Amino acid sequence: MSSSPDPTTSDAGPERIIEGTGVAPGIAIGALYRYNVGPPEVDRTPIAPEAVEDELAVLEDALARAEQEIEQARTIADRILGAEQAAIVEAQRMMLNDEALLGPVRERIRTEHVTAGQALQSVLRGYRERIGESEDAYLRDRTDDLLEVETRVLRALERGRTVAQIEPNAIVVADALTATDLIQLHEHGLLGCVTTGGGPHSHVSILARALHIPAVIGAEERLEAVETHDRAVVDGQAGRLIVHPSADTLEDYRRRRARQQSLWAEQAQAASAPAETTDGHSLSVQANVEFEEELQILKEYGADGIGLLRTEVLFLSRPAGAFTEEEQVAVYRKAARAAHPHSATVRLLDLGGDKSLSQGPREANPSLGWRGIRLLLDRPEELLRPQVRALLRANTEGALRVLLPMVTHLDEVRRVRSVIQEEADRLSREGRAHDPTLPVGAMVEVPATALQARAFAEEADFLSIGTNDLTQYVLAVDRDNDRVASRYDPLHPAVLGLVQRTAAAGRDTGTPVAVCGESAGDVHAVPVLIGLGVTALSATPSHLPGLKRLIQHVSRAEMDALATAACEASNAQTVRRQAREWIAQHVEDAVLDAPDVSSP
Amino acid sequence: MIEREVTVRNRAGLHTRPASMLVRTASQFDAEIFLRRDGYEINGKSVIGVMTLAAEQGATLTLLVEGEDEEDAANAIADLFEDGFGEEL
Repeated sequence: MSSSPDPTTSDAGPERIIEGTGVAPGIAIGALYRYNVGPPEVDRTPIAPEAVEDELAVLEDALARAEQEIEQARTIADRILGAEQAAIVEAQRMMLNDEALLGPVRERIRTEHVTAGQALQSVLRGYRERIGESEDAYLRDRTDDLLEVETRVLRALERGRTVAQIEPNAIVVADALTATDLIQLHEHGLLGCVTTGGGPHSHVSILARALHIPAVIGAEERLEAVETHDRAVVDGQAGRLIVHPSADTLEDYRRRRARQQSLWAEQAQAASAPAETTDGHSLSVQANVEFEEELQILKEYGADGIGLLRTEVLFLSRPAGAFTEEEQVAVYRKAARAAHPHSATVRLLDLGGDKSLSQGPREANPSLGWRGIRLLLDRPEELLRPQVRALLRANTEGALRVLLPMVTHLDEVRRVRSVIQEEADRLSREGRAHDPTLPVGAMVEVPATALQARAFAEEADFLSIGTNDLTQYVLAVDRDNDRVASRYDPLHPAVLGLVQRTAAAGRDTGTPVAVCGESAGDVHAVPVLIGLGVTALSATPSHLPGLKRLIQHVSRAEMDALATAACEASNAQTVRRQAREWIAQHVEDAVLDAPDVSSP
Repeated sequence: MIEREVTVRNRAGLHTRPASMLVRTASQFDAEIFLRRDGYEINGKSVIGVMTLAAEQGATLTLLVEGEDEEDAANAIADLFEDGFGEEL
């Protein structure tokens, strides 16, 4: 492979374009590396007797990787849309820990001195043959489930051996990549990646965007036709892999790459500076976090801590009951460290509504049903107490805050406070390390809470406005219902009135008020929200540099004027128009020229 | 030691999903749990083992349970078979 990441000539064959879906923008120019394309290969070289222990360790490592990959396959969608699919994924996990498999595999490595891959393949083949003898066609097809496990582990074995061999500064093509692969490859100077599988909302795609690694998924043509060392360009915006680029193509992409890099550099500069308006008003710009992997990238986005750590995916991506207190402690510690020196706000499990656990009766009206804090307080032993204990224990590692979802009654805040007190006392009696200083915040998403904002501001340590749900409840619109979705707009004056009321209550009582809904990442909404008096914004990490850059270029006084006009407007369309005009008047185009910001 | 007959009632047979349900249930008990079919015996806590029974609808298996909580374990597992693992019968 060429050691130069930027080849100057295309040396073989005509230019070829492979189309896919761009999931992370940017341009990569370099040499290809084929990574696990096609069926995995099994090493059949006998191992030396003294290498047995090493081979057993290789097996353990591969099993752990395969298990991690399976975890990542379990998205919320799997869980909700396909109970059958989720059950099969769970069965695969069980197989990876099944002594009926591991026992004989280890035995073969020890006594026959074969590689882990060969041992695994021969043991599973025996089982597959047994199932294949069944007279029932459906049961015979279950051998596919075993084959899938086999492929996963064999791939994982290959990965363990090959990541270290990949030369730096490569464009990787693969059937699929896991988040772990991506992080390891990134440490190897990965330039870009192209896969046949994967989805735009997968962990890998989110990470690729976060790490500024141009990425294309769903490459239509079989990538088997490309070779390691081929020169290529990845266009992560257009979703295109260009193999053997012509001199003209290369020249064009070099220019585009330079422009992209200078934009990223400007954003990075904005991100590292505080979010302060031109008239010296400081705002806190925090990150919304959903996946553990996102914790690793908060610093480079200049996040002032974590404004919203959602815990639903953490729960739902594991088998029921598997996100134990201990596991939670580990994740919350990681969050506290990632947010340092700022705080990490962890929202208690917000189940129900659009995110349901698979059990429990179906509700006629889930948005108005048993969800959020209602569910937690009704069944405190199952979910609330373990989560509170984990937060108290992890709190020794940094500054955690706890946020209560779907709060409607003042009493709910008080009851959670007593649970926190009780669990802190219990941890003291048990002699377990913990930090009882855990600020309690209320989500403002039910109109009643916004209307009683003053009382909530006195009761809670901070408030966080969830504009998505607040808008849904105020306007009585389900934005997932196509027939009415166009009537949904967080910039409706009625919604803004409640935001203003909440912000005013915060100001009068010295209680911080944040916005953590999607509008906190919408450039048209942000100046209005700041003008209404919110003190913090919490949005997707990749939006933060753009938000900071916007805030650094405008004055609070100008935003106040915009907000005043918005509250007096008669409808959302008028507010949108005012906001657009305001942006055009006060913000130079260059400030907003950031793809991450304009498309929330 | 409890020994009793169980019959696969659900239409699709003891495929991957029921096998994992069975193992999840079996693993909640301390008792040792085995299933036997025509002289072939497997550990009821192994999902691969259960799958290799390739037990179709109507197949009769012998359930063998031994341990302090054998009574509860045998009942819980027999209930799963009886209920067709929550699937279509």
